[in-house]
Amino acid sequence: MSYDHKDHSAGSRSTFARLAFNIYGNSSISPNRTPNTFNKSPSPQAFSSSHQLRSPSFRSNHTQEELQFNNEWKYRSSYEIVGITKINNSPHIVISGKNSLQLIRFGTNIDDQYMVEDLLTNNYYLKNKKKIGSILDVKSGYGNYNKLVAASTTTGSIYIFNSAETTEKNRLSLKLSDNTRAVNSLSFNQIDPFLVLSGSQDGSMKLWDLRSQAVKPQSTMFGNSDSVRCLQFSPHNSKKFCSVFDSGNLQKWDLRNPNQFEKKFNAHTGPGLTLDWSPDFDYVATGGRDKQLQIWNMSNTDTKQYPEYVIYAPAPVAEVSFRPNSPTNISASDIALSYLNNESLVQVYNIKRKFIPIYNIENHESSITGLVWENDRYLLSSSRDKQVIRNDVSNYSKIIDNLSCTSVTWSATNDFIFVDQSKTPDDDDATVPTESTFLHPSPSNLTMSTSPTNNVSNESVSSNSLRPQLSRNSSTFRPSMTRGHSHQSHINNSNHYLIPANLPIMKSEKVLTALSENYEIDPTKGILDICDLNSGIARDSGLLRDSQTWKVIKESLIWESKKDLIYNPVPEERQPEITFDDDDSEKYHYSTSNSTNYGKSPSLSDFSEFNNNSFPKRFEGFSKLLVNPEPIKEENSTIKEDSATVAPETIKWDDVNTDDLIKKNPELLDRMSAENYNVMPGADSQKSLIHSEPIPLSKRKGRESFISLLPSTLQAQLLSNGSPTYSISSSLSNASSRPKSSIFQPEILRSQKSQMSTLTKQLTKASLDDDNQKSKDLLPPYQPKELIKHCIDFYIGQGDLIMSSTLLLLFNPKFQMYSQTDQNEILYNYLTFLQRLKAWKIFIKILHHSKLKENFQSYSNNVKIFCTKCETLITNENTKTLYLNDPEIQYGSWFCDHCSNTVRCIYCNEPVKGLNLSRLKCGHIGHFGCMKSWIVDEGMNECPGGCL
Amino acid sequence: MDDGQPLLLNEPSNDPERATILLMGLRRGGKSSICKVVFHNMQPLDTLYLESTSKPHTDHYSSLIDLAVMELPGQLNYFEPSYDSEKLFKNVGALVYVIDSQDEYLNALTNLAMIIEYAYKVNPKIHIEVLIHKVDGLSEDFRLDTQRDIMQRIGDELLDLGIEGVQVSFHLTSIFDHSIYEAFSRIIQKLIMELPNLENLLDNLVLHSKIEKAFLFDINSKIYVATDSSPVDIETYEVCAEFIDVTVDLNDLYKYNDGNKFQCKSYLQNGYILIFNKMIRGLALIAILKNTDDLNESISIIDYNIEIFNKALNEIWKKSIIKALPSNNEF
Repeated sequence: MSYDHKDHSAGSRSTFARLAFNIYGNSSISPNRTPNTFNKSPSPQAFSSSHQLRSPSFRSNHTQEELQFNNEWKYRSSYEIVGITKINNSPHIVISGKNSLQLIRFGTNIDDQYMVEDLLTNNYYLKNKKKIGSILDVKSGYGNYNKLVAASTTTGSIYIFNSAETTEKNRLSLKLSDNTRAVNSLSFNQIDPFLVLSGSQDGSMKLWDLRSQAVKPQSTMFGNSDSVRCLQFSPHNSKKFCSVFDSGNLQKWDLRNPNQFEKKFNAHTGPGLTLDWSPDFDYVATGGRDKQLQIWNMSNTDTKQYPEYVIYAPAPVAEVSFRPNSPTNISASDIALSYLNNESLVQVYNIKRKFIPIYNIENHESSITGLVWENDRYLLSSSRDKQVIRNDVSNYSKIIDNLSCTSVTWSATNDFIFVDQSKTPDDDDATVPTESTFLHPSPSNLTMSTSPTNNVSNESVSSNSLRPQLSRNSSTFRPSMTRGHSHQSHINNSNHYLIPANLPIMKSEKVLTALSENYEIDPTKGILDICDLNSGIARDSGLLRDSQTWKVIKESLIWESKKDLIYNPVPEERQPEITFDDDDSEKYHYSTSNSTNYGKSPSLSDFSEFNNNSFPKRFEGFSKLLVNPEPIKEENSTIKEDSATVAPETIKWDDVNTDDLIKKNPELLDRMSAENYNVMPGADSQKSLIHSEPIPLSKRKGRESFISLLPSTLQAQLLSNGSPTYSISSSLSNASSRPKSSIFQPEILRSQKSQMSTLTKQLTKASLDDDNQKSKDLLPPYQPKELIKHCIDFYIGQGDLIMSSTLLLLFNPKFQMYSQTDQNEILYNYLTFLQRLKAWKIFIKILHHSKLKENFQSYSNNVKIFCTKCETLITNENTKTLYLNDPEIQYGSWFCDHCSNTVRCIYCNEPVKGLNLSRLKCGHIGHFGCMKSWIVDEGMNECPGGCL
Repeated sequence: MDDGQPLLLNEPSNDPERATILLMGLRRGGKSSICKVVFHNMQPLDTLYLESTSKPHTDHYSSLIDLAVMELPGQLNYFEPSYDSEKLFKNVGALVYVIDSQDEYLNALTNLAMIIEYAYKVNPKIHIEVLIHKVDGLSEDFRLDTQRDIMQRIGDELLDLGIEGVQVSFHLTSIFDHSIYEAFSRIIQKLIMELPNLENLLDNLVLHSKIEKAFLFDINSKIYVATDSSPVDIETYEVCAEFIDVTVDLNDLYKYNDGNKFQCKSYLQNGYILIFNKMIRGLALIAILKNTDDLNESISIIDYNIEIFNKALNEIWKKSIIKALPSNNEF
């Protein structure tokens, strides 16, 4: 994945959604067409936020007093506005409709806007408006000529008005007509303001000198036979101008050579529509019907003619206008775009950030016909919805501020990648490649993601330009073509981070699949068997802890059934012993008897007594150890004779502890053995019932219940030494985080107790506290419902979806530990996880079992079979109908109803159905019998079809 | 018409008032497909089964102007003495050269440069139109690159040959969308002498009838022979072309005799109205306007204006016939 594409998708999501118009999409006719009314209330939202969003640069340009005003205003006219121009150095604008031309005065105050003059209706010469034709373009002059307004019409005439003239008679100062076809565009020269250029539909461009009263053009230039759509004088050189044509060409002309263009650029694939010369640099922006905005370097003498920047716009670009905000270089320039096609959106782009506009301005209801920047803050826009709006761009929030610039994605194999990008583009623009190599962002980023470091830093990312780059010049059938300049990536690579990581989860995909595939999830099959089975599966997968959990649950269930048996001696209840038909039966029998004891006597009394009698000294010592581990070493010198590290020593102490236990309470011996068996489920030697000798230290390693006895400083060491499965730190931290000295004794008690109840290692603190506080009126912690709930909680905390889901599926129907919603949520996660593993078989199994089917509608698990011959979907409806009437008829999807195509045996050419063999090399299929006789009986190596 | 004229070189002199379009290009470039799709309404996919053209073939076409589209097979060499190439190029209005953009096109470019050199020498007024064809197979970016490359190379070739001032236009086309129709529209428009008049007429019609955009279509080929001076949006054009299809098909279903009058209106969901009006000589005026409250009033005005437009069109046509006659005698 590439950050570049991400930007693009994120940036254009909103715009594309909006632009999902069909032709003439969102046009709405405004119901209140009150002519010449002033709208004083632009959208309130924009103004409430205006002061917060205003950037400091704007503040510096405007006085605080100015900011108090609501500087956005609207002017509503009575006609569709097709052109707008601002009278330079004067608070007036001229708007033109198809056959009207009006001078509008505006001020900083919102009430100031009013129509000064209708330039056409009051004019003596223009009584008959119909002769004018409709106005196509309107422009205003510069310098001494700044009061002049020129309007071009479809009839080919250009009318020059003097807006400063007070007498109506003299208002029309000139009428220039030399064209027979429509004049599409006009331009005043900024340096020699008496020069006016006109571009016509017939492809001619005429230069007019306003000083001479002659109505003949000074010179005429022919670009080509295509219509001129837009032209403009250079603001830097009075002799140069550019024009863009219907053919998509951009031409640069010098007035001193009217016979031949100075330079021609092949800009757009469709008609070019608009053009603007940057006020600060020698660059020209062109917009075309091909939805591109191209920025051309005019001072470039290179023969290669490619645009320096391309912005892909969401719609055909109808108007462009550079923002006069004095950028430091061309790539820092902002440019406003409006679109053809009834699209009422104005977008302001920064040339450097070509995928995300700075602002989206949507005030109009119909397509925009004119864009003029008053200054770097106010943008005047005119539209076919009969309005002129002065937009204060500082009122709009920047699009980029609302976009997330980080992204994370996971793969099923525990890889995940994290991308972070800074929002401000880097200012140095030196990374633009000049050679014709194709710098595609995504492959280079992919190579980054495979880098072994977990944190790809700034430097390594920016150095990816040193990697071998993809060149598209190797295309075979186009020799020596240099393509791809339009694809140059101008986004700097140096301001983003890309962090690939692999989570240290020990379960491989194979193990995960095996587990999810083999775990039995159907509780109707005998719950104890299932526990056994699942325990074995977990053991085979090397997950001793999970295996142990299953056994614990089983024991707990047995205990419960025993308890029921004892309290309610119902003869027909199944004896637990009956279920044990494997070699573990003895053991279980034994532990069952223990359980029976528990059932008889209040469970805790024995141990509290036992603990109180036999352990006080130790506890004293141990609590000291907890406070300060150093002195206890010296005190218990007998224990730590040969100890090198602290952790084994503690375990040793634990050993002694256990010995004491055994001595003091013979009953415990049995329990210990049972427990020990459970710790090492695979060890045959542990099967003996009687343990007279202390349990060897080495066999104790995996016993987490002891770990919880350790001070937290030692836990880590022990963990790293001993724990064979994944982290148990969460359960450990529960134990270790509590104030130790005060409640240490109960904790020991608890851990002892948990050992004796055959190792419930993940019993959480809360329930244990409960047990301790009101042990009399509560069920023991190994009571199955609580136990399983804690198991599930634990596995959810661990993120182990397989265990938690399996437990849920097995036990939730019975115990109702979780609400249906919670269960569904977990199962849903499990199912999506299975999808990522592409374990469809299990997916279907779980889906069937969990009754989540309705919720998984979107996850289609259908397989559609298409006929290889006629390429239609195999439905076989006809045969199905027949089959429903007559069960004799064979029905299935092994043939195609449509073309009666069947897969035929390569040997006997009969249709193949059911068991068949296929040769991997050639894919030919045959009946099992046929293939057997061919290969086995006849001893052939080749395919019966003759393939080798 | 075709049967009586086996010799291709007789064609232009036989019909001097016809504007002739010469369709050239290397073999398998798509010339026949273009002809069939544009002028014979063939489905684009069916062009797969077209045989390779072996003989020059001429299509006659009557629209506002009479048109002859002459297709020359790509494998023939027109500079052999057996062909009267001079006569061939002298009387054509436009030379359309088809380049297959999906194939190796360097040979085509050399071939084109030679043809341009010769044709320009014989007939300096000739319009050279290059169709960069089959662009449907290229990605958006690649199209632009291909176009730039071809334009650059042809420019260089012509510069090498020392030809300046020849008008070469380029069009990206494909028979699978409307681009081929639009390209032919622009080609044919250049051959219509009365185009400025038509355009002004349409401009006036648009101005006085609250119409947003008006096309003068040729019904059979769905080429627009004229439109008003605002830029053509390809989507607008597509909608209008589809509208003609629907209208003509419906009309064929429910045919009744009321002379020449043939009108149709369609109200689009987004508040626009399409109006179809049959004009003279197989032409149709398609107008797009916004649906407003005072629609009934404006519709009647539009109907009236269109009626006047039709009359004007008739006048123009008559005049053009008369104009063509003296030029006839010059040959």
